[in-house]
Amino acid sequence: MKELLARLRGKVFQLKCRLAKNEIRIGNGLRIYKRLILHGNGTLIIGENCTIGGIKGDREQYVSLDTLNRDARIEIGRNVKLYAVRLSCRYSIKIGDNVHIEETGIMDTDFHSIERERSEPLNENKANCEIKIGNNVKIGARSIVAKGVKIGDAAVIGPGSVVIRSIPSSSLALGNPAKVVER
Amino acid sequence: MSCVAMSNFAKFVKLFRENPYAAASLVKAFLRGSVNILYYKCVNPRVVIKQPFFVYEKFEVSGPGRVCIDANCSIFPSVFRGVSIITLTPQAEVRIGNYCSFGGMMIRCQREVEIGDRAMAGYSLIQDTLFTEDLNLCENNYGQNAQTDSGVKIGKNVWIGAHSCILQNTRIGDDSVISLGAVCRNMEVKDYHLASGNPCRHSLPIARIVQYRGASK
Repeated sequence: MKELLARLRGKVFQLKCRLAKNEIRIGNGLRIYKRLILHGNGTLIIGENCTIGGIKGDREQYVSLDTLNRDARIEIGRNVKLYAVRLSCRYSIKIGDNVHIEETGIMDTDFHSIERERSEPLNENKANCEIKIGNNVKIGARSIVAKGVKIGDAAVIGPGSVVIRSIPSSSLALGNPAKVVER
Repeated sequence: MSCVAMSNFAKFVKLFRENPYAAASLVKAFLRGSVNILYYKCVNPRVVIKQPFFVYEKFEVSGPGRVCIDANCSIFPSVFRGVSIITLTPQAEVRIGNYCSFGGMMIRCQREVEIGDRAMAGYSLIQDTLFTEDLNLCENNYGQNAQTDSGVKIGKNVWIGAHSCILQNTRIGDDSVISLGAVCRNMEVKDYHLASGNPCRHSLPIARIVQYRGASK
Protein backbone atom coordinates (compact mmCIF):
# COMPACT_ATOMS: atom_id res chain seq x y z
CA MET A 1 0.00 0.00 0.00
CA LYS A 2 2.78 2.39 1.02
CA GLU A 3 4.80 1.46 -2.04
CA LEU A 4 1.79 1.95 -4.33
CA LEU A 5 1.28 5.45 -2.92
CA ALA A 6 5.00 6.20 -3.33
CA ARG A 7 4.90 5.02 -6.95
CA LEU A 8 1.83 7.18 -7.59
CA ARG A 9 3.57 10.22 -6.12
CA GLY A 10 6.61 9.52 -8.29
CA LYS A 11 4.43 9.27 -11.40
CA VAL A 12 2.69 12.56 -10.59
CA PHE A 13 6.05 14.24 -9.98
CA GLN A 14 7.40 12.89 -13.30
CA LEU A 15 4.36 14.22 -15.20
CA LYS A 16 4.61 17.59 -13.47
CA CYS A 17 8.27 17.92 -14.42
CA ARG A 18 7.56 16.88 -18.02
CA LEU A 19 4.91 19.58 -18.39
CA ALA A 20 6.50 22.43 -16.48
CA LYS A 21 10.29 22.11 -16.57
CA ASN A 22 12.16 20.68 -19.51
CA GLU A 23 15.59 20.73 -17.84
CA ILE A 24 14.51 17.96 -15.46
CA ARG A 25 14.47 14.40 -16.78
CA ILE A 26 13.18 11.62 -14.58
CA GLY A 27 13.21 7.91 -15.37
CA ASN A 28 10.35 5.47 -14.83
CA GLY A 29 9.65 3.70 -11.55
CA LEU A 30 10.47 6.60 -9.20
CA ARG A 31 9.17 6.09 -5.66
CA ILE A 32 8.72 9.07 -3.36
CA TYR A 33 8.05 8.07 0.26
CA LYS A 34 8.58 11.54 1.65
CA ARG A 35 8.53 14.98 0.08
CA LEU A 36 11.15 15.95 -2.46
CA ILE A 37 12.21 19.59 -2.72
CA LEU A 38 13.85 21.05 -5.82
CA HIS A 39 15.39 24.53 -6.01
CA GLY A 40 17.04 26.44 -8.83
CA ASN A 41 16.93 26.12 -12.60
CA GLY A 42 19.85 23.80 -13.36
CA THR A 43 19.76 20.40 -15.00
CA LEU A 44 18.59 17.37 -13.06
CA ILE A 45 18.67 13.82 -14.40
CA ILE A 46 17.31 10.92 -12.34
CA GLY A 47 17.61 7.35 -13.64
CA GLU A 48 15.17 4.47 -13.45
CA ASN A 49 13.84 2.77 -10.28
CA CYS A 50 15.10 5.35 -7.82
CA THR A 51 13.81 5.59 -4.23
CA ILE A 52 13.49 8.82 -2.29
CA GLY A 53 12.51 8.87 1.37
CA GLY A 54 13.09 10.19 4.84
CA ILE A 55 15.27 8.64 7.53
CA LYS A 56 13.77 6.38 10.18
CA GLY A 57 12.82 8.14 13.38
CA ASP A 58 13.25 11.70 12.16
CA ARG A 59 10.20 13.40 10.71
CA GLU A 60 11.85 16.75 10.03
CA GLN A 61 14.32 15.65 7.37
CA TYR A 62 13.64 15.09 3.68
CA VAL A 63 15.52 15.00 0.37
CA SER A 64 16.36 18.36 -1.17
CA LEU A 65 18.13 18.78 -4.50
CA ASP A 66 19.41 22.35 -5.04
CA THR A 67 20.99 23.72 -8.21
CA LEU A 68 22.52 27.13 -7.59
CA ASN A 69 22.79 28.35 -11.19
CA ARG A 70 21.84 27.49 -14.76
CA ASP A 71 25.00 25.49 -15.54
CA ALA A 72 24.68 23.23 -12.53
CA ARG A 73 24.08 19.59 -13.35
CA ILE A 74 23.02 16.77 -11.05
CA GLU A 75 23.10 13.26 -12.50
CA ILE A 76 21.70 10.36 -10.54
CA GLY A 77 21.99 6.82 -11.89
CA ARG A 78 19.71 3.80 -11.73
CA ASN A 79 18.44 1.99 -8.57
CA VAL A 80 19.70 4.81 -6.33
CA LYS A 81 18.28 5.08 -2.81
CA LEU A 82 18.40 8.51 -1.22
CA TYR A 83 17.21 8.89 2.38
CA ALA A 84 17.15 12.46 3.75
CA VAL A 85 20.02 13.58 1.49
CA ARG A 86 20.75 17.26 0.86
CA LEU A 87 22.50 17.98 -2.44
CA SER A 88 23.57 21.51 -3.31
CA CYS A 89 25.26 21.84 -6.66
CA ARG A 90 26.98 24.76 -8.39
CA TYR A 91 29.06 22.83 -10.97
CA SER A 92 28.28 19.13 -11.26
CA ILE A 93 27.46 16.15 -9.07
CA LYS A 94 27.41 12.65 -10.53
CA ILE A 95 26.06 9.68 -8.63
CA GLY A 96 26.44 6.19 -10.11
CA ASP A 97 24.16 3.15 -10.09
CA ASN A 98 22.98 1.13 -7.04
CA VAL A 99 24.08 3.81 -4.58
CA HIS A 100 22.67 3.91 -1.03
CA ILE A 101 22.95 7.22 0.88
CA GLU A 102 21.46 8.05 4.28
CA GLU A 103 21.13 11.49 5.93
CA THR A 104 24.11 13.16 4.26
CA GLY A 105 25.00 16.61 2.99
CA ILE A 106 26.78 16.73 -0.38
CA MET A 107 27.96 20.11 -1.70
CA ASP A 108 30.42 20.92 -4.46
CA THR A 109 31.14 24.52 -3.51
CA ASP A 110 32.24 26.53 -0.48
CA PHE A 111 29.62 29.28 -1.18
CA HIS A 112 32.04 32.04 0.02
CA SER A 113 35.74 32.85 -0.14
CA ILE A 114 37.87 32.90 3.00
CA GLU A 115 38.63 36.63 2.67
CA ARG A 116 36.92 39.25 4.81
CA GLU A 117 34.49 40.27 2.07
CA ARG A 118 32.98 36.77 1.96
CA SER A 119 32.55 37.19 -1.80
CA GLU A 120 32.28 34.46 -4.45
CA PRO A 121 35.05 31.86 -4.14
CA LEU A 122 37.89 32.74 -6.54
CA ASN A 123 39.76 29.55 -7.40
CA GLU A 124 36.80 27.32 -7.97
CA ASN A 125 36.09 25.87 -11.37
CA LYS A 126 34.35 22.86 -12.74
CA ALA A 127 37.52 20.78 -12.99
CA ASN A 128 38.47 20.90 -9.31
CA CYS A 129 35.03 21.05 -7.75
CA GLU A 130 32.92 18.38 -9.35
CA ILE A 131 31.90 15.42 -7.22
CA LYS A 132 31.83 11.91 -8.61
CA ILE A 133 30.36 9.04 -6.65
CA GLY A 134 30.88 5.63 -8.24
CA ASN A 135 28.65 2.58 -8.50
CA ASN A 136 27.62 0.50 -5.45
CA VAL A 137 28.76 3.14 -2.95
CA LYS A 138 27.17 3.26 0.53
CA ILE A 139 27.32 6.37 2.70
CA GLY A 140 26.22 6.26 6.35
CA ALA A 141 24.17 8.69 8.38
CA ARG A 142 25.28 12.20 9.47
CA SER A 143 28.26 12.45 7.12
CA ILE A 144 29.33 15.26 4.77
CA VAL A 145 30.93 15.09 1.31
CA ALA A 146 32.88 18.24 0.35
CA LYS A 147 33.90 19.66 -3.02
CA GLY A 148 36.26 17.94 -5.44
CA VAL A 149 35.84 14.46 -3.97
CA LYS A 150 35.81 11.33 -6.06
CA ILE A 151 34.59 8.16 -4.38
CA GLY A 152 35.51 4.93 -6.15
CA ASP A 153 33.26 1.99 -6.93
CA ALA A 154 31.96 -0.15 -4.03
CA ALA A 155 33.41 2.10 -1.33
CA VAL A 156 31.74 2.35 2.09
CA ILE A 157 31.73 5.58 4.12
CA GLY A 158 30.82 5.06 7.77
CA PRO A 159 28.39 7.17 9.78
CA GLY A 160 29.51 10.58 11.05
CA SER A 161 32.45 11.01 8.67
CA VAL A 162 33.54 14.16 6.81
CA VAL A 163 34.94 13.32 3.36
CA ILE A 164 37.30 16.01 2.04
CA ARG A 165 39.73 13.88 0.02
CA SER A 166 39.15 11.24 -2.63
CA ILE A 167 38.44 7.68 -1.47
CA PRO A 168 39.75 4.71 -3.51
CA SER A 169 37.42 1.98 -4.70
CA SER A 170 36.31 -0.95 -2.50
CA SER A 171 37.44 0.46 0.85
CA LEU A 172 35.92 1.51 4.17
CA ALA A 173 36.55 5.12 5.23
CA LEU A 174 35.72 6.69 8.59
CA GLY A 175 36.35 9.81 10.61
CA ASN A 176 36.96 13.54 10.26
CA PRO A 177 38.78 13.83 7.84
CA ALA A 178 37.72 10.46 6.43
CA LYS A 179 40.60 7.99 6.19
CA VAL A 180 40.71 4.50 4.75
CA VAL A 181 40.43 1.94 7.57
CA GLU A 182 40.06 -1.32 5.66
CA ARG A 183 40.58 -2.28 2.06
CA MET B 1 7.47 3.48 50.54
CA SER B 2 5.17 6.15 51.93
CA CYS B 3 8.20 7.91 53.43
CA VAL B 4 9.83 8.15 49.98
CA ALA B 5 6.56 9.39 48.48
CA MET B 6 6.31 12.01 51.22
CA SER B 7 9.83 13.20 50.63
CA ASN B 8 9.09 13.48 46.89
CA PHE B 9 5.95 15.45 47.70
CA ALA B 10 7.94 17.72 50.05
CA LYS B 11 10.47 18.29 47.25
CA PHE B 12 7.65 19.21 44.88
CA VAL B 13 6.17 21.67 47.38
CA LYS B 14 9.62 23.28 47.78
CA LEU B 15 9.97 23.55 43.99
CA PHE B 16 6.49 25.05 43.71
CA ARG B 17 7.40 27.73 46.26
CA GLU B 18 10.67 28.58 44.54
CA ASN B 19 9.60 28.36 40.89
CA PRO B 20 5.91 27.76 40.21
CA TYR B 21 6.39 27.71 36.42
CA ALA B 22 8.90 24.83 36.63
CA ALA B 23 6.56 22.93 38.93
CA ALA B 24 3.69 23.35 36.48
CA SER B 25 5.82 22.11 33.58
CA LEU B 26 6.90 19.14 35.72
CA VAL B 27 3.27 18.21 36.31
CA LYS B 28 2.57 18.60 32.58
CA ALA B 29 5.56 16.37 31.71
CA PHE B 30 4.39 13.75 34.23
CA LEU B 31 0.90 13.71 32.68
CA ARG B 32 2.35 13.52 29.18
CA GLY B 33 4.54 10.61 30.26
CA SER B 34 1.54 8.80 31.74
CA VAL B 35 -0.34 9.23 28.47
CA ASN B 36 2.68 7.81 26.62
CA ILE B 37 2.83 4.79 28.95
CA LEU B 38 -0.89 4.12 28.44
CA TYR B 39 -0.56 4.50 24.67
CA TYR B 40 2.28 1.98 24.38
CA LYS B 41 0.50 -0.42 26.77
CA CYS B 42 -2.45 -0.48 24.38
CA VAL B 43 -0.67 -0.27 21.01
CA ASN B 44 2.64 -2.09 21.43
CA PRO B 45 2.93 -4.45 24.44
CA ARG B 46 6.63 -5.07 23.71
CA VAL B 47 7.36 -1.54 24.97
CA VAL B 48 7.53 -1.44 28.78
CA ILE B 49 7.91 1.93 30.52
CA LYS B 50 7.73 2.35 34.29
CA GLN B 51 6.13 5.20 36.23
CA PRO B 52 7.05 8.00 36.74
CA PHE B 53 8.15 9.07 33.26
CA PHE B 54 8.62 12.78 32.46
CA VAL B 55 8.18 13.78 28.82
CA TYR B 56 8.88 17.42 27.93
CA GLU B 57 9.24 16.82 24.16
CA LYS B 58 8.03 14.30 21.57
CA PHE B 59 8.80 10.67 22.43
CA GLU B 60 8.52 7.98 19.81
CA VAL B 61 9.08 4.22 19.68
CA SER B 62 8.66 2.17 16.54
CA GLY B 63 9.67 -1.21 15.20
CA PRO B 64 9.06 -4.84 16.15
CA GLY B 65 11.73 -5.18 18.88
CA ARG B 66 11.55 -4.95 22.66
CA VAL B 67 12.08 -1.71 24.61
CA CYS B 68 12.33 -1.46 28.43
CA ILE B 69 12.64 1.90 30.19
CA ASP B 70 13.03 1.98 33.98
CA ALA B 71 11.47 4.44 36.38
CA ASN B 72 12.24 8.15 36.78
CA CYS B 73 13.50 8.77 33.24
CA SER B 74 12.94 12.15 31.63
CA ILE B 75 13.01 13.42 28.05
CA PHE B 76 14.00 16.99 27.24
CA PRO B 77 13.93 19.01 24.00
CA SER B 78 17.18 19.52 22.08
CA VAL B 79 17.60 20.81 18.50
CA PHE B 80 13.77 20.81 18.20
CA ARG B 81 13.69 17.04 18.64
CA GLY B 82 12.66 14.65 21.32
CA VAL B 83 13.81 11.06 21.61
CA SER B 84 13.07 8.38 19.06
CA ILE B 85 13.86 4.70 19.53
CA ILE B 86 13.71 2.47 16.47
CA THR B 87 14.14 -1.30 16.57
CA LEU B 88 14.91 -2.82 13.21
CA THR B 89 14.47 -6.55 13.88
CA PRO B 90 12.22 -8.60 16.25
CA GLN B 91 15.34 -9.78 18.15
CA ALA B 92 16.44 -6.24 18.93
CA GLU B 93 16.40 -5.20 22.57
CA VAL B 94 16.79 -1.72 24.09
CA ARG B 95 17.18 -1.45 27.88
CA ILE B 96 17.43 1.89 29.66
CA GLY B 97 18.09 2.22 33.40
CA ASN B 98 16.46 4.56 35.91
CA TYR B 99 17.04 8.30 36.45
CA CYS B 100 18.23 8.75 32.83
CA SER B 101 17.71 12.08 31.08
CA PHE B 102 17.88 12.36 27.31
CA GLY B 103 17.45 15.22 24.86
CA GLY B 104 17.25 14.81 21.10
CA MET B 105 18.71 11.30 21.15
CA MET B 106 18.12 8.73 18.46
CA ILE B 107 18.59 4.98 18.98
CA ARG B 108 18.49 2.67 15.97
CA CYS B 109 18.92 -0.86 17.22
CA GLN B 110 19.43 -4.07 15.31
CA ARG B 111 20.92 -6.29 18.04
CA GLU B 112 21.16 -4.88 21.55
CA VAL B 113 21.52 -1.49 23.19
CA GLU B 114 21.91 -1.24 26.94
CA ILE B 115 22.15 2.04 28.86
CA GLY B 116 22.82 2.07 32.61
CA ASP B 117 21.37 4.19 35.40
CA ARG B 118 21.70 7.98 35.56
CA ALA B 119 22.98 8.40 32.00
CA MET B 120 22.74 11.80 30.30
CA ALA B 121 22.75 12.38 26.56
CA GLY B 122 22.43 15.33 24.18
CA TYR B 123 21.59 15.29 20.50
CA SER B 124 23.42 12.07 19.66
CA LEU B 125 23.05 8.88 17.69
CA ILE B 126 23.34 5.33 19.00
CA GLN B 127 23.30 2.84 16.18
CA ASP B 128 24.61 -0.73 16.14
CA THR B 129 24.76 -1.11 12.36
CA LEU B 130 26.40 1.07 9.73
CA PHE B 131 23.27 1.33 7.58
CA THR B 132 19.73 1.21 8.85
CA GLU B 133 17.41 1.64 5.90
CA ASP B 134 18.38 -1.62 4.17
CA LEU B 135 19.20 -4.55 6.44
CA ASN B 136 20.63 -6.63 3.59
CA LEU B 137 23.54 -4.19 3.46
CA CYS B 138 24.51 -5.07 7.03
CA GLU B 139 25.23 -8.74 6.30
CA ASN B 140 28.34 -8.73 4.14
CA ASN B 141 30.08 -5.42 4.01
CA TYR B 142 33.39 -3.81 4.85
CA GLY B 143 33.86 -3.40 8.58
CA GLN B 144 30.83 -5.49 9.44
CA ASN B 145 30.46 -9.11 10.39
CA ALA B 146 26.99 -10.46 11.05
CA GLN B 147 28.31 -13.33 13.21
CA THR B 148 30.73 -11.56 15.56
CA ASP B 149 29.30 -8.05 15.81
CA SER B 150 27.58 -7.17 19.04
CA GLY B 151 25.57 -4.22 20.23
CA VAL B 152 26.28 -1.19 22.41
CA LYS B 153 26.68 -1.35 26.19
CA ILE B 154 26.82 1.85 28.21
CA GLY B 155 27.49 1.81 31.96
CA LYS B 156 26.14 3.86 34.83
CA ASN B 157 26.41 7.64 35.16
CA VAL B 158 27.75 8.20 31.63
CA TRP B 159 27.57 11.61 30.00
CA ILE B 160 27.19 11.50 26.19
CA GLY B 161 27.91 14.81 24.45
CA ALA B 162 25.99 16.34 21.59
CA HIS B 163 26.55 15.37 17.93
CA SER B 164 28.33 12.16 18.90
CA CYS B 165 27.78 8.76 17.31
CA ILE B 166 28.14 5.44 19.12
CA LEU B 167 28.33 2.54 16.66
CA GLN B 168 28.56 -1.22 16.99
CA ASN B 169 30.91 -3.25 19.27
CA THR B 170 31.28 -0.43 21.78
CA ARG B 171 31.50 -0.86 25.56
CA ILE B 172 31.51 2.24 27.75
CA GLY B 173 32.36 1.91 31.43
CA ASP B 174 30.82 3.60 34.46
CA ASP B 175 31.27 7.37 35.11
CA SER B 176 32.92 8.02 31.74
CA VAL B 177 32.34 10.91 29.33
CA ILE B 178 31.89 10.84 25.54
CA SER B 179 32.88 14.26 24.27
CA LEU B 180 31.26 16.51 21.70
CA GLY B 181 31.27 15.07 18.17
CA ALA B 182 33.05 11.83 19.03
CA VAL B 183 32.44 8.74 16.90
CA CYS B 184 33.10 5.43 18.72
CA ARG B 185 33.25 2.15 16.87
CA ASN B 186 34.84 -1.21 17.77
CA MET B 187 36.30 0.09 21.01
CA GLU B 188 36.15 -0.16 24.76
CA VAL B 189 36.12 2.89 27.01
CA LYS B 190 37.15 1.99 30.56
CA ASP B 191 35.61 3.26 33.79
CA TYR B 192 36.04 7.02 34.46
CA HIS B 193 37.65 7.78 31.08
CA LEU B 194 37.11 10.55 28.53
CA ALA B 195 36.68 9.53 24.88
CA SER B 196 36.94 12.12 22.10
CA GLY B 197 37.71 12.51 18.43
CA ASN B 198 36.36 11.34 15.12
CA PRO B 199 37.23 8.46 14.75
CA CYS B 200 37.78 7.92 18.48
CA ARG B 201 40.90 5.80 19.13
CA HIS B 202 42.13 6.33 22.67
CA SER B 203 40.42 7.32 25.87
CA LEU B 204 42.05 9.38 28.63
CA PRO B 205 41.64 8.81 32.39
CA ILE B 206 39.66 11.71 33.83
CA ALA B 207 41.41 11.50 37.21
CA ARG B 208 44.73 12.35 35.56
CA ILE B 209 43.24 15.22 33.52
CA VAL B 210 41.86 16.76 36.70
CA GLN B 211 45.25 16.30 38.39
CA TYR B 212 47.12 18.09 35.57
CA ARG B 213 44.75 21.01 35.75
CA GLY B 214 45.30 21.31 39.49
CA ALA B 215 41.61 21.13 40.23
CA SER B 216 41.91 18.27 42.69
CA LYS B 217 43.36 18.73 46.15
